[in-house]
Order: sequence, then structure tokens, then C-alpha cells
Amino acid sequence: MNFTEKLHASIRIALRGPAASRFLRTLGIDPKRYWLLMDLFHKLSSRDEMQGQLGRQDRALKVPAMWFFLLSGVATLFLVLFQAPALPVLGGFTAFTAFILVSVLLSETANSLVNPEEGMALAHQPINGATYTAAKLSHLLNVVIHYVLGLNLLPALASPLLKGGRWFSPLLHLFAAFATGLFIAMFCCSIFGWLIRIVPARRMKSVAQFVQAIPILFFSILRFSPSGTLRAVMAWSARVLAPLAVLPLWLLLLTVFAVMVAVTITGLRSLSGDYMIRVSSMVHGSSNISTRERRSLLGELVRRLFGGQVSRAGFDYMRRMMLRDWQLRRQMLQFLPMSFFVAIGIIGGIRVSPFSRSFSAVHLLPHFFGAFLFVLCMFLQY
Amino acid sequence: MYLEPAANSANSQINWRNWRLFRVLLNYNLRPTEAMNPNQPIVDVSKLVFRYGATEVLHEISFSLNKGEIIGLLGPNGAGKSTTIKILVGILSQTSGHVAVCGLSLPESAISVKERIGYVPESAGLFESLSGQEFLELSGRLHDVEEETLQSRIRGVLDRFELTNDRLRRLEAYSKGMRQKILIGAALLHNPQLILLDEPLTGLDVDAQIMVKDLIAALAKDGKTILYSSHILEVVERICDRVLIIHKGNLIADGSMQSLREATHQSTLEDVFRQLTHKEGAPPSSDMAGIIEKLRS
Repeated sequence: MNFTEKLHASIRIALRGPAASRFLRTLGIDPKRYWLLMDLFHKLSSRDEMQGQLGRQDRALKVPAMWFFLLSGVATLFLVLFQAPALPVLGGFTAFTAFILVSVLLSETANSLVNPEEGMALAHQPINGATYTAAKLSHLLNVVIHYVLGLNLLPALASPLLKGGRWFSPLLHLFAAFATGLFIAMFCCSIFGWLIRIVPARRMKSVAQFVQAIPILFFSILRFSPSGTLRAVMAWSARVLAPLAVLPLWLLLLTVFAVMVAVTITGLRSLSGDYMIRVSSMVHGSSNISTRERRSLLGELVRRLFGGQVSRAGFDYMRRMMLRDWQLRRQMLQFLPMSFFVAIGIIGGIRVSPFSRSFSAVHLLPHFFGAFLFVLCMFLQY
Repeated sequence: MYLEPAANSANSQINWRNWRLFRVLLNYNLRPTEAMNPNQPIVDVSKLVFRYGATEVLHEISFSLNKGEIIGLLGPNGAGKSTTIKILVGILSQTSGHVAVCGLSLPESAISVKERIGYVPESAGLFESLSGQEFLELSGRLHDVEEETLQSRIRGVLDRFELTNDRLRRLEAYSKGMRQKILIGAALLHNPQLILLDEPLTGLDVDAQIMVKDLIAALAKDGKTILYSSHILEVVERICDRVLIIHKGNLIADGSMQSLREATHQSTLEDVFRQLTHKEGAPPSSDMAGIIEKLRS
């Protein structure tokens, strides 16, 4: 047994030991069933039965983490060369980590909780909601570890070399990044906890699709909305929030923090409640929806031009699956807001000279063809 | 070798070779059901209503099941049989009404109920990449069966269902009948008090069907309660003590085979069922000729 195997074995023993079990029990998690489920999910992922969960797919997780590691390394090199101040660098990297993690973890949480295909095989087993949810969401921790390290390890190690950097800066940087990552993971889970509490189970899948698109929508609005919109929104927010300015800043921050913590804890508690009972309704959420009786003109065209009824059957099947398959819709929806705002940007900047110094979305037009092909290739797997 | 029919229909056609093997298999370390009074029905359903969105699937149905009974649950497709079973299993939560299983209220005590029941679902919920042995181990361990006992029971199940040689093959390579055997085995490993079978004979060959029927009788003899949902009326007629018929979400019949025959003045369960459920709307069999004409056109 080499060193890595020994390390893995000791971690495994420690995690499954009495101290860890006591901790899990305090959270309402049954340790024995939790580890049974963890082993099961690991086995199913390694045998390619449980797919679409980033935290359980070693290669799919390591490739982006490596890219982040390289890119953050290049950025760190420049930051050290130009002696950037340490604190803003820490803030910038933490904010970027937060944005990336929100985008990834919202999607991961939705896929884990809203589409629990394997939940149907386990729904009649004596597993409480907290145990099942904890086992389902543990892989998010793997995503957080890989992404936080990928994005922050090199900047953190180089932080003492930055302007105002101290010997403890690496620890501070990594602590801030991990704390942010963990909070975002819990916050994403709590969002779905709230949704499960509020939204009827049969509508969960549709609502989850929109929730996932929020970070992209937010980014698109921020980046591509007509100039001045953001400033107007900020000014309006400042006017609305002005009465709060009489309160001390620490009180405001403490209140915001307390509210966030309360919202997160309440959301997480919803997940540990009757989640298992809702699994069946969520999985079969749209099965009661009737479809309209209509004959597609495109289908008729395909029949005439591409080989008769057999081609038409294939075409109609694919068309309907694309509209109704949750996984496909979930991924396509994320591109819609960005495409919409990019289109507005291109139309708005159509008269801008390609040689002008001012930025316009129209300058990115050639890249969009590449991006379009990339998206098309992503969907070809369906 | 089959015995002559006895007074109790459940025992009427037990293959006694199977029976002895089942006794070995059923030699469980019985866990007492703490919450239960011996005279209390094992299932008590009162004014159960269930809605999927705006559609009411079950309309205030009430019934109770007693210890050691084999109850047939019948009804046309979409009548609400599987929904009723899923509510009893704790997979679905009723819209209103009272449901208690083994003296425990649902959905509040769903976990405790799931520990005490065995459920064979209508559509096989299996992990395809696990082997038969792995799936049975998972089911037993989730029910906290002690490891040595579990392995012994798994060997018994695999042996009885003639799956010993296939135990290490992945479930995706199993036939429909083999999967069904694994599901039935998994439902029994933890010595449940109540066994809910939703179309358990689907995909089974004739030998396996006979064995499952014997198993059901053996389980009832051992004091288990069995709720058996099926479309195969002859089987229900042969093995069940009592029949519940659900039609369009209403419980339209609840009684022994004899009482149903007498009440409807019919001689077979098929005729009873036909009389109770095909009163309006259903085409008589002679109309089927019209379909053939349509297909020829």
C-alpha cells in the first residue's frame, strides 16, 4: 500500500468513525444509511449509470479545475509583476470564485434534487429526507474543493509577494475562498429547499430551469444591456435604500448576514423534511400533462423530401423530445438570455466601425459562429 | 405434489416442497412491531382522498387489512390501485383522510412504516449496473439486517429463485422475470409484517409464477399480511382470502370471494368483476370485430 492509498484509507476510517457519525446524527442524518448511499452513488457513477453530476465525475471535474489553475496562474504572474494590492486581489478572486460556483452549483443542485431518477428505486426504502439529501448533495463539496483550489491556490500562494501582502495572506485567501464556496453550496441547496416548500412538486422541474438561468441572465443584463441601464438601476436602488443609511454599517451587515443565514438554514431544513415523499411527484411531474392533437407541417415536409413516413416518425420523435426532455431544456435555457442580449448588442452596435477603439458586441460577431458550433456540438450528444 | 383444497383458500394449493424451503428462508429474527395492538388491523384506511393536481384519483375510500390475510386489490387500468399502494408504502402523501400501517400514521411515520413493509413495485425500480447480489445486499443493509443473517437470506433467495449462477451478472443483463425475482427477494429480506405486491407475476415464467403463489401462501401462513394487486383474476381468485375492487377511484367492493359471488349472483371472480366495473361505457366483446374491420380498411 503506497502513501496515497494509506492516506485515503485513514481519511475513510476517520470519516466513518464514531466522531463523524455523532456529528452526522446531530444533523438528523443516519450515518449507516448515509455511507451506504454514498458507496452506492460512487459505484453507479463509476459504472456510468449515474450521469450528469459533475462532483462524481472525476475527469469532468478535473479538466475545468486544471484550466482555472493555469489561467489563475497567468493572472497571478501579472499581478505579482505589477505589484497589485493584496486585499483587492483577494476580493476579486473570491468574487469571481463566487460567480463561477453559483453558476455551476445551481445547475448541479437542480440536477441532483429536481431530477432524482434513482430516487424512485429508493423511495420505498427506510431512508429519511436528511440522509438522502445529504448523500445526494455531498458531491457538491467535491465541486467546491476542486474549483476553489483551481481558482485560488496559485493567487493565494503568491499573495505575500503582492503589495501589502503578509505571511498569513495565503491562509486568509484560502479560508475566504473556501468559506465563500461552502456558503454558496449551502445557499444553492437552500434555494431549492425553499422551492420544494413553495412550488407544487409537479411544477418543480419547470421552475428549476428558470432558477438555473438566473446567474447567466444577471450576467447578460450586466454586460449587454444598453449603456446607462445599470447606472439607472443603481441610482434607483440607492434612492430606495437611502433611509437605511442612518443605521450603522456594522448593524446593516450583521442584519444582512443574519437574514442570509436564516434563509439558508430554513431552506436546508425543508430539504431534510418530506423530500423523499415529493420525489415521486417530481419525477412524474409532467406525466399528467395532456398534449395537443396537431400534425406538424414540417413533419409533412420531411415525409415528402426525406424518405416517407419512417423519416417523419424519426423527425417528429426528435422534435418532441427536444421540446419535452428536461435535461435538454435545462441546458438550452441557459443560453437563451445570453443569446438575446448578445443579439440586442449586435443590433445596437451594427454601425460601429470595426477599427474604432470603443467596445461593441458587434466586434465579437466572428467569435459567435465558433460559439454557436461549440453549443451545437454540446447538444449533439442528445 | 399438491394437496387437496382446504378451508382457507390461501393454503389450498401449496407446493409443500416449496413450503419447507420458505420456512427456512422465513426463519427471521422477528422484531416486534412496538406500536401494534394484536387485535388492531395492520392497515387502517379511512376516507382516503388523493389528488394529482386538480384531478381527484381516489375518492374517500376506506378499508382495513388484518394480520395474516391475503387481500386481492383489483380494478381496471387507471382505477387507482397503484396510487393506493404507493400511499400505503409512504411514497405518496394523501391529500386528506387517515392512513395507518402497523399502527403508525402516514405520512408522519413514513420511515418507520417503510422499515416494516416489503414492496414489489409495478415498474421495476432497479439500479441496472448493480449485480443481483449487490442489489439484494443494498436492500438488506438499508433495512439494517445483520450481515451474517443477510448473507444467509440472500443465499436462500437466490437459491429458491434459481439465480445463484447469475448473481454476479449486472441487472441490465437480466430478463424481465429475473428482475422481478430480485425485486420480490429484496422485498422479503428484512422480514416485513406487511407485503405489498403490485403486479408481481409480470414477466415471470410459469414455474416462477407457481413458486411466487406458493411463497405468498407460505408468507400468509407465517402471519404476514399480503396486499396483492393484479389483473390476473384467476390467480387472485385462487390465492386471496378477500378482494377489494377499486373503480374510478371508488372502492366498489370489499369482501370474501364467497360474499362477492353471492352478492352479485355470479359464479366466478371474472364475472363479478365484469358486472361491477363494466356497467357503462365499456364495449361488449362483440364490438371488437369493428376494430378488425377498421384495421383492414
